[in-house]
Amino acid sequence: LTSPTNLLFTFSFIIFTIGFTFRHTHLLSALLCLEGMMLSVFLLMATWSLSSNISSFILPLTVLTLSACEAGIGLALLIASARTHNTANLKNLNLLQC
Amino acid sequence: MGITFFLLCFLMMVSVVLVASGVTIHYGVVSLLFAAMFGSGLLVAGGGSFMPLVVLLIYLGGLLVVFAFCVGFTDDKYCEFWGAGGSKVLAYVCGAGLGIGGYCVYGSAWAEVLGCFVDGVEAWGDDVSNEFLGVGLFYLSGWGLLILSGWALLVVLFTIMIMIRGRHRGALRSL
Repeated sequence: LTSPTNLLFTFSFIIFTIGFTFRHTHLLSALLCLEGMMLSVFLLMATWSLSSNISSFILPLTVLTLSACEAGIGLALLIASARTHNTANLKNLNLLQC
Repeated sequence: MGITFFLLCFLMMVSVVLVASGVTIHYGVVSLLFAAMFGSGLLVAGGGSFMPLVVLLIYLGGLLVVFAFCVGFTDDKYCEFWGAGGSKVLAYVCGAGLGIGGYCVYGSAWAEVLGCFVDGVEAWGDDVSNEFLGVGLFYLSGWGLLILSGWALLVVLFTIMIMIRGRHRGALRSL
């Protein structure tokens, strides 16, 4: 279905994915792009459920809950590494580098 | 009504590009906030009333507040915005603008869709809209996913509590 809303949400998912694969200076920027991917997926699912006859919102709500869990754990990792190294730059996460 | 829909779409696209282009994290968090707001506005334009509130309350008011709080823990020394890393952002903005703008100009069959919000909301009976019945299905036939989501939230709570313990020496602290 190629309505403007669905096109916008699909583009935003692609842009968030591209931003997630690039190398940022800070770990939180990658986590923000991950959250944006989950947000755009939720918006696509909610728009589909609203405009079809099925109208079951189990899937968007469950996806939102699990993405909140995942974001919480990502932020806990960020806080743990910020306490250890004093910043969360990606240059400091080089423990496994040979 | 057309200008509202256009502004919602355009401002959401601008804030999405601003998040993905890796500016300073303070600007990134605020712009993700705005992306969530405009996205829920687009859900209102699509005819929903409960789903936008779910996005605003739980996602924006719960999760993004935690993100903004964590931004306060870490600092970013070099403050950069769209002047500094310009070429990457410019590529994003041009690509997004060409895609959306080309569709909106040449997709003339959707001129009426661009012009107005959804007029009538589909309802199962006469009183209740489809949306609340669909959310109520979460308790009727989606009880398994409800229990799974609640269990996942409980497990994640204890996981985060273990990961942020301050006093003990674990795998996440330096020796």
